[in-house]
Amino acid sequence: MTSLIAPRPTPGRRDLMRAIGTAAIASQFLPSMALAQSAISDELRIATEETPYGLDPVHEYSAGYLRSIGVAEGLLRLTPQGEVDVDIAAWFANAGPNAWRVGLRPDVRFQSGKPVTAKEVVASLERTRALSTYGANLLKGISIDAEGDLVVRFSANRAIPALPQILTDEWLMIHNVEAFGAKDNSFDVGAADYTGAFKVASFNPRVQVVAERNPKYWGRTPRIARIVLNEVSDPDARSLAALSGEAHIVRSITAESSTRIQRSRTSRLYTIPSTDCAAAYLNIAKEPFNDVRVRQALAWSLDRDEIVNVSYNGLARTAPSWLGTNVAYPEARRVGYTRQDLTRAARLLDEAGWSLASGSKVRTRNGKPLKFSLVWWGGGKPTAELMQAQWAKAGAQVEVLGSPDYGLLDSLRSAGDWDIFVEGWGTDGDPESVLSRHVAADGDLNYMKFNDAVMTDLLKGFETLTDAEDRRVQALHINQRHADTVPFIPISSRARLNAVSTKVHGYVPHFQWWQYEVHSDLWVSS
Amino acid sequence: MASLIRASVLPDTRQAKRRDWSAGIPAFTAIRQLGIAGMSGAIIIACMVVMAVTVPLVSPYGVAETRSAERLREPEFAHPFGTDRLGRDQFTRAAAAGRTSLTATVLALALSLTIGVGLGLLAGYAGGAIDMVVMRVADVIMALPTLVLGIVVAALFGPALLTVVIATVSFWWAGYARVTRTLVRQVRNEPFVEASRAIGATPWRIATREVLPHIWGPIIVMAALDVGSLLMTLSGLSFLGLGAQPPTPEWGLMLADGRAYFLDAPFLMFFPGLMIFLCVLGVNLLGTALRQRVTKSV
Repeated sequence: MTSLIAPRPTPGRRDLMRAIGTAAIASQFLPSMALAQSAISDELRIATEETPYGLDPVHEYSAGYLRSIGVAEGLLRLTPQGEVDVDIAAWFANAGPNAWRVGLRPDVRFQSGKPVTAKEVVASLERTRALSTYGANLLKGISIDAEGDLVVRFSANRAIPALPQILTDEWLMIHNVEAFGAKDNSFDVGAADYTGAFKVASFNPRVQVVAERNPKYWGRTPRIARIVLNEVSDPDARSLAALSGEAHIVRSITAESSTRIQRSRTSRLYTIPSTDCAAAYLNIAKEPFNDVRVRQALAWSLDRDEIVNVSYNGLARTAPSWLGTNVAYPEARRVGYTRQDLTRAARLLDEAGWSLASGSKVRTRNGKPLKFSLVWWGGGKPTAELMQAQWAKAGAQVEVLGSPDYGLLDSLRSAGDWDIFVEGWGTDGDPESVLSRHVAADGDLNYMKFNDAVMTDLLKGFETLTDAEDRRVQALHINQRHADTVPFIPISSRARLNAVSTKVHGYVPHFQWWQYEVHSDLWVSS
Repeated sequence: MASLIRASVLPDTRQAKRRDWSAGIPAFTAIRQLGIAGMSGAIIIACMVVMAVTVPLVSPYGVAETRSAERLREPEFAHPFGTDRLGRDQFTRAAAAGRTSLTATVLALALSLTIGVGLGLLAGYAGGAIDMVVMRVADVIMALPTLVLGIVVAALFGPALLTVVIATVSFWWAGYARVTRTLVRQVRNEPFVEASRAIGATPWRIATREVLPHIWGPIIVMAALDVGSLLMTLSGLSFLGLGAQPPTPEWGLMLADGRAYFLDAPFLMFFPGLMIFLCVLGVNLLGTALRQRVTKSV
């Protein structure tokens, strides 16, 4: 496996002289430095572009953040190598084509001290199913029953070969239903009762979460006493937080700051490959996106190589089709929009009635210009501006608007007042669950209310498929249908760049951002 | 004796010649009367305007043309101001941004003057309830933090250059209204106004034909001195993302875009900043010279 740490630039003579000078001075203090190195700092500070919106696992935009700081855990988890492993479960086993059994560890307790039994696990997952759209999507058609105190049985009237993968999902965190109550209970710190090594001590929504070591933790006691997760939505401020040492772990460093972090002596840059696919989500309920030819034309107009080079410094891979960013589907890289083709885009737009008058730069239809807005968030402005320039070549007038904060996009989407926005979602995991979220008529990430009969039939096809390869092939069929109908335009993967202080030890990069970042063996030297 | 005569005559002759040279061109006369500082300001402004008008026309690079292979180039002959993160030529964009920024500034100033002077004239000449209402509204607006007001207007109408112009005008007029009102009240009982009234001139005619020409000088000076602040305000709002939107170049927006690279490519912030600095310096020098000139004539 290749190293995930980006190499430092080759030191020059000045760097060498500086190093010798520093070493000479440092040698005077070596004994005391050695002592300091061995000391463990009590606090780990993490800066991230967003903090949880709530403390309840069923609250949107919350689950992953809580899991990433070791507050919550699931039954199973994915290792950095992509294998399913136990988390608070002791074992899992197939119990026939339509059923799985998961055994619990007898010593697992909630942070309140209450033992975690099969009954508690069933209640927790049922609550997630009842209160969260995504939870309901994941557990659709699956019955969950307790078999005694320490075994949970999952069964369905169809094959569920991917159940272990589903149980690794960030949303399926085991929580104390009695403490949380029957409804979404996001802002009561006292009610937030999970099984993690850290317990929430204070919570300021979209600002800060402070978690302290859980003295009743069932596993190995963590070496860090306290974790502070701060929201720093401005990408420049985040990179400065890394360079200044204000934060020990800084998530989502922008490509433009990456060189600075690489040059830094206090931070290491981790380039973490991701299966996330950044895509342009189109409001297909509106003109001109209700015409598939326009959607295809816009997809052909994009120069994905240029986007990857400019926006991600070449640290991502293009997505000619939706599953093209996932290494498990190499065929998906040969499907869809494999190159920029402005001629084909022009032909499609002409067919759709959007013609380009001589001397004009913007196409029109019935006197109406081909004009729409493109919303970005986070560090997505360069990508949006580049797409604006590329679509301008196809004759579209694009207005770019956005904010580093997710709030603007969220409010525009809630109001239905949007044309296109750029967002990325993971493509790893059980293909049925992943694909259904986006293209099933009731998918929670189907922002566009895309409803296609052929796609529905293809998704139904999963129900009879038990073999992993058959399911993979079915996913590729769906990917092909997606490329033909283009409910959203795949752009590229999103490599995650994290800056980690050299004082942090035991950091494990993971392709799923919420996994393994905080664990019992992670420590910070003072 | 002869040398004394020569000495006293020669300078006069030179002065007369100089007077003759510029006598036929009022603009040159006016500029010369501004002094060195004022002239420097006028030259800077003229250069900025010429650059804004000509550079985008003659530049080999389009204002919004992206060249990803040439991104983040340091200043060089082909790109005197370097290139930005999308490979766009910063010199062309900075010049084109001059059009945007200067046009927006002139538009905002013209609208503020029209509204402010109009309301000030009305309040000062009519007096009574109208005066009270207009002045209290002006007081309220002047008490509001300008930035917050700008953000509120931008939130209502959506981020755009026109929005920040509207936002700026919405509070900028108040200053002109107060000054105009004070000046009108000083002259409204002067004999020439009384005389117009006596011969039956309408209030509109008196206000526009008699009062306004007498108070115009100080207002123009005030406006000239305001151009710099107005430019800074508009650029500031654009810096915050409320003004011009990509790919329209604007100095404040270019500064904001360069912020992410300020350690690795400081030229991305330096040149738009320099343009704002020069422009504000130019209008301030010109404004100060105008003020001195008006004060001297009074």
